[in-house]
Amino acid sequence: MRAGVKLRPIVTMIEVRRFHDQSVIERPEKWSNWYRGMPLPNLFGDSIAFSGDFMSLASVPSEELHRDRRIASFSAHGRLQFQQRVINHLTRFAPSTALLAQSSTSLEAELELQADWMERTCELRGDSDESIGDAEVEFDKFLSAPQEAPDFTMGENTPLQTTRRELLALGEFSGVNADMQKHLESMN
Amino acid sequence: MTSLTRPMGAVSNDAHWTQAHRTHLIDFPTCVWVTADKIALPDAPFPTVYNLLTSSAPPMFVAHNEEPIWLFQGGSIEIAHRPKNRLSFFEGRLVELRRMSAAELLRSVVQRHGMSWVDLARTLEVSVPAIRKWRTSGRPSAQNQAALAQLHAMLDAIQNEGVADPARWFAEPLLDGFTVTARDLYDVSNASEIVSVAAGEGSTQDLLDAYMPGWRQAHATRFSVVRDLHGQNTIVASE
Repeated sequence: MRAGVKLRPIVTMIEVRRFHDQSVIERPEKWSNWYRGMPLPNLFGDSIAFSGDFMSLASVPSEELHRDRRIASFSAHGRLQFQQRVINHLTRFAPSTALLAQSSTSLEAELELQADWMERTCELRGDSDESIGDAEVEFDKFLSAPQEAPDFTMGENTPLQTTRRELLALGEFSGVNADMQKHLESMN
Repeated sequence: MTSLTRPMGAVSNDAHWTQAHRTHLIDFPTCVWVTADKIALPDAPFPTVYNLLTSSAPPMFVAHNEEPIWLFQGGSIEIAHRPKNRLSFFEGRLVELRRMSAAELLRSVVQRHGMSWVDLARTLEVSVPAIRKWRTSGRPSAQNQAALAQLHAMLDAIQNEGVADPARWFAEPLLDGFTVTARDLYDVSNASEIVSVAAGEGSTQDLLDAYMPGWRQAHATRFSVVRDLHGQNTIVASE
């Protein structure tokens, strides 16, 4: 879906419709055994439910997706529920969310780092489209750079050759996160 | 050979840690240096000392800043960790951490251990936005602040047992064939027992039986996550 921090030119969309199954809305525990669509209760904050309909998939140009028209985004657990339902729709197999969490650790890690980065830069520079775009590019550069580890060097302060993004893919989130949090704190 | 200009007791930047627990094997293609028979890890937050056990390369005895050191050029060394008294360490850290504000605790746990907000929120059973609020203006309840200090102290204690990345250990499956993690198991009553398991001394199954009855049924899986040829995580069925 993404190339670096940018959306790919074409992305897959799922149609969102009004959802009328009140029994599922009123009893959220039923969702864990209900895979037909992606429930989106209270999407607009008005107690009305919607659902992502997997029977209605399409590819659209990402340039038509405007940031300022976004209504909501999934939480980390919501993303796992969504993956589980998409996989079930395509294969009739519903992997556990714990297993999906294990397999998507590096992606989730990157999303969390990006959220922190954007929050900090918006705090410092405002949230205009231009400053958000600049911050996304800076974040991409930060992840594409090698992780510096001055304590692990001899002589000169030579950085490791592995980029932060590669470290995330290897499951080395903690070191990258600690490094980035210090970096964000030093920003002004 | 790289010149020695750094303080004593550091490990060269190309050293690779191969094991998380009490005994570490460090492979290094260039060189590493060790003070006498001990090695101190520069990024450890506490004065942790490791004993040198074996080496695959003959050491060269050299002097640096008038202090004798052993220099190994290429190969591997094996070192053993000497944990301090577990309980007193944990309780000591807890006393120190309870003096900190919620914002200071969060800053410390993230900068020291790199724990994610999602893992923190899930462990403390609060939302990620609540954690974000604590970082800035909001104050958690006294109960949540105490829970945060305890979680921090437990991660410190796990690190003191020689686990290089306690936040990662905490979020990864404890046993093959099961998805259960220490994060699922953790609550304020079992922190010191989790530290024992991290140290390789307690029985993971016994601890799970005691605190999570039914964990075998709830967390058993025939699948595992492996990295494919392109470095992507992939779910595969176990053979």
